[in-house]
Amino acid sequence: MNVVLAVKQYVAKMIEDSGPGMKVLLMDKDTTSIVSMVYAQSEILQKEVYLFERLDSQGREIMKHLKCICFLRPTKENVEFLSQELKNPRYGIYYIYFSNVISKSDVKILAENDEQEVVREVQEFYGDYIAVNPHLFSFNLTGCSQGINWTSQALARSCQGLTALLLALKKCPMIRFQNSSEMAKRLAENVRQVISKEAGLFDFRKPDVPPLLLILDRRDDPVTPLLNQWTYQAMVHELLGIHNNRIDLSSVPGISRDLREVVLSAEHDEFYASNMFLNFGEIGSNIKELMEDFQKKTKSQQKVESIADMKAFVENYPQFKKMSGTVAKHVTVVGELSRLVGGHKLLEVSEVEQELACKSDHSNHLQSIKKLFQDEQVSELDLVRLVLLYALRYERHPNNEVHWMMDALGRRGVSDRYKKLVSAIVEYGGSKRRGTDLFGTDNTNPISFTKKLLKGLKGVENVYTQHTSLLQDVLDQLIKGKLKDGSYPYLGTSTLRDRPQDIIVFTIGGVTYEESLAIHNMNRTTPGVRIVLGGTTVHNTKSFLEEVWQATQGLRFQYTNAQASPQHRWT
Amino acid sequence: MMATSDSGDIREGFLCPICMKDLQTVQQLQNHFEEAHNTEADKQVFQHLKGLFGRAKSKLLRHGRDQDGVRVDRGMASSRSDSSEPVAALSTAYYVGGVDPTMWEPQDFGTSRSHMDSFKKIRDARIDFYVIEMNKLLIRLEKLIAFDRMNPDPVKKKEFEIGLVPWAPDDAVPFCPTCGEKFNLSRRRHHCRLCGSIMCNRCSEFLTPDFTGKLVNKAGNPPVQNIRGEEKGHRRQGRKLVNKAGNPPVQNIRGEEKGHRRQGSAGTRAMESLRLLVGEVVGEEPREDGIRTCQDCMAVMRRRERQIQEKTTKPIIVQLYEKLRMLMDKVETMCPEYIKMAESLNAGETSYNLEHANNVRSQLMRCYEAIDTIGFLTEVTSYGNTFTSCVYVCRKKIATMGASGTEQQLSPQAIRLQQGIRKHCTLFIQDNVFGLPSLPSEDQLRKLQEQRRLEIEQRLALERQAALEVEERRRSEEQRKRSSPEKERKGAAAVDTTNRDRTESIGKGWTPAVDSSSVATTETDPMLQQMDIIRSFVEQARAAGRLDEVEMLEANLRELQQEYWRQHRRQAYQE
Repeated sequence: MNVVLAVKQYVAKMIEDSGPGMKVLLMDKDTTSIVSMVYAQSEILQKEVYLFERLDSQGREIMKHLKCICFLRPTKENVEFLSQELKNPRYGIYYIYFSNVISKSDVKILAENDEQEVVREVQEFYGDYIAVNPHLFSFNLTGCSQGINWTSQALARSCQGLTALLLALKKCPMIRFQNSSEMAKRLAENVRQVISKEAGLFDFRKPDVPPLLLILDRRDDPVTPLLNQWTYQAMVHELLGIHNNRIDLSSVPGISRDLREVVLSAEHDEFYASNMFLNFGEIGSNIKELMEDFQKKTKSQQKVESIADMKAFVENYPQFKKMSGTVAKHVTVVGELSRLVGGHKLLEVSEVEQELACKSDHSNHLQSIKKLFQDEQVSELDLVRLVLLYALRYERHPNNEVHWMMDALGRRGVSDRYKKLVSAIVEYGGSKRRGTDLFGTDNTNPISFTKKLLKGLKGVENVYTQHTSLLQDVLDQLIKGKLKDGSYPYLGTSTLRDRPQDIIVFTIGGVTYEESLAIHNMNRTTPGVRIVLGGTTVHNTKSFLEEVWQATQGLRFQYTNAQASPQHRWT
Repeated sequence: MMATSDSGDIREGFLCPICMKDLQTVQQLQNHFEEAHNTEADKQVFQHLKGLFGRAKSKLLRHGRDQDGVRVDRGMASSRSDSSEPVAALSTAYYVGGVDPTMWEPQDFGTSRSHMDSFKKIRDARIDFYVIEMNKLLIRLEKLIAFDRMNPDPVKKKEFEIGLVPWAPDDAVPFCPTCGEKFNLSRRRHHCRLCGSIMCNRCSEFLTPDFTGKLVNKAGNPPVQNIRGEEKGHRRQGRKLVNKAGNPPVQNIRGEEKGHRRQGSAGTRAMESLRLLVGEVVGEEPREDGIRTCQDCMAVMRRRERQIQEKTTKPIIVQLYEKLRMLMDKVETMCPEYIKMAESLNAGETSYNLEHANNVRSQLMRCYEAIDTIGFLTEVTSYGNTFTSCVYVCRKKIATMGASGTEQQLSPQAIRLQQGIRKHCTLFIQDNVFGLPSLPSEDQLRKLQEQRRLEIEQRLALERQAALEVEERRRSEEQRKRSSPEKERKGAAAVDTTNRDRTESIGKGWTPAVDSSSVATTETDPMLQQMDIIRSFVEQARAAGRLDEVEMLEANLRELQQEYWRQHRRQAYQE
């Protein structure tokens, strides 16, 4: 159940099967991201792969002395490009690997075009997903729904990706889905269809406890992606944005040239691997340690007087250079993070966010938000997310001041699009869309009531990280066997009797790094249970707002006209 | 040697398993154990001790063997494609990455499915068709050329051409199938000599004698997979003729053809002048001479040419790359050997010769330099450029000067390929060279050896003293029991003499002395005893600075170890 390793093994096998000699790796747009997530370039160079090409790039030169390894998604487009390629082969020998199930007719087209007998291998290797961390995968699909329903493309891709993941991990699961979501149900049914259609592929040795695939919908928890984050990976994604392990630092003032884009990969960066789940304060001290360590080394490097010193320098140079690269990178990233935190008063903002997410205290919250509105340093995006959280929490509060806030946003010069999002988010993840009691407001529900009580008794350790995601609660209940069949029914008749062991959770509409961290911790602390988390994408607030925007296109909004009436009171 | 081959944290000697104190002899260890560790738990450990010694001994012995085994394995791994090995390497590399792997079970290779069978089935059916087509055309071509050479008469030639392949009847084709224009007086019909189809002049291609020469001469290795026997016969004949003619007749053909054109019948002459006229009007240029073919046949012929070319030529970059891989493989086998040598030398051991190690080092360095140079060359040489020694010598110069010149001819892909290879070289060198330990100089080596000798002597002296003490204590106890004082004196004297013997013998012609104390402690297995004796000889020889003896003795020792192992294995199997 390690999604990174699964892809790595696939790629390694491809390269290895082609034997010795110079190689070129021919990929499409998607597979390029898939491979780049798990392998560093230098690592792949050592396997004699010296060229990376896109199948659709024009004017590639003929190099018959190269072996070509094709790793492609089995799309119509790719098959067409590939048959062109085979008709006039540019490379000596071809080893073709498709990342998913390819139809017989497509194989036939390719075979007919291979007039020069250059193809040595045609295989399906199911590495058809972006492996972010060992327990986290994504399909990089932002905006998977429109009008609160699947776009056909996104549905197809999600289904392909999920089935490929199951094949890569060799799991033939039972499927549960979130009952309140039509999208979850459709995806579950599609996955099930593929499994029964390709029964030959899914014929694995049956474990004692069958694995479980749980399909959820982001709309049940629109709050988590709206919060500022304080653990390293999540924070970097929230404030700087991580795309395929790369972060763009070109907007950072005074950035040096080689740091414009940096790679943060737990696979190849030890410091990152051991710090990605730590919070900002801990990172600060670790960075300091790293710096001191580095300076000590630099000092010893500086006095190059004798030949022996030189030799020592040269011998240590590779590690030294590697270390200096790591140090420069993380110091820059953390420096930029703390600049943003200070500059936009993120600590203050975050505290209010967390309060909004976790407690119900209308007048106080209103006051805090109003105070932040007066602060010039607080950024537009942060104000918007506060308003969104407020609108979600007090959606049915009789005296809610959403309209005042929207006016205030207008006064701050926030764009119309952001203002419209206030209604959009209620439409997307408001109370009538949600299947669960997200804010724990329903006191008649004994579970959420006791939880609330417990939370109150325990007190808050850290005001910035008091929020726990709905996903964590759902999984807690699932592991304890308390997840209601009514809200999360099984697809089909059979149900799981035992405590689940291998769990694959997929969230339609994207996951967050906060949830990824929660899963990581659960994996560590719950013996015998392995959880892999996936989503159509990994969100930060900006991308989530984009998702909400697209999902609600073509819907009527509550707050567009001045008069909006809360339907009924709740306590 | 055994200690250095591992991480360095390994200690040898009679270590107490509980407090890790180094005690020199079994006697001492036993005494220490009885005194220091007297609790229940410790006793349990003590129970294991005896068996442990036996196991440890065999482990040490196996260690020497295993190293050889590992080297063989590594060599094999690079040549064969073992799927499990790199996967294991991968997972360990991954675990170093830092994310807690303990929760994850070892992972199988994911599902996969091959389509190669159905792919091959479909492809083979089509390929057969292509191959037959191509061969048909090639055979006709050969015949045409052969006939041309022998019969200059144009009428007969045309007859032969029509006989070779049935020409399509003129009235069946009112339009040129390639360009779609209607045939008329100015746009006349022409026949492809290879397949008999009709096209206009503009859509005709001509196989020049040079080109056909390339195709037919190289036809030595038959491209044929499925060819009928009859055709085969024809082919052989054709080839014989062509081969006999060799190269010079190619020009002949041209002359003949030209001649025949000039002398041709009035009709053809008229047609030709007409063609020229029309050609000027339409903008056609007079075509080169050769065998007229349609575009389809031409495409087949071109493909054939490419195939031949690819088979026979090897781009420079491939040659360089092959060299590079060879060097890298060599380095990979030499490196561990060298590191072993260097470590041993640096520890002041005398098992390896400094000169030899220096030799290996310089060899390694030369390899690295060559790798570096080749890596560099792949970057600067273009495919067409010849590999000259000049490039080799002043490569720096070319890198700066030639960069603009050579790179212009190269596509960006080629450049990236070369950069990739270059980077690979750099990484390889970084990984291997920078980790290489340096060798001591002669003086340093002497100092190191001296140091080690002193250390060894010191240790020996200590051991001996300790052994003596223990011995004495035991004897005094015995004495107390038996009260016979003479024995003690004798024992002491005996030890004394061996000591004196050794110091003397080192000065004179050298002979190793059997150190009775160490031999006495071993088990009763004669082979082990023998090994211990040799080991003590080696120590002594080393102390005496007798390199050749050391080498010889070590070789002896190794043989013995191997033999010992063979025996043990056999025993194990029998059991």
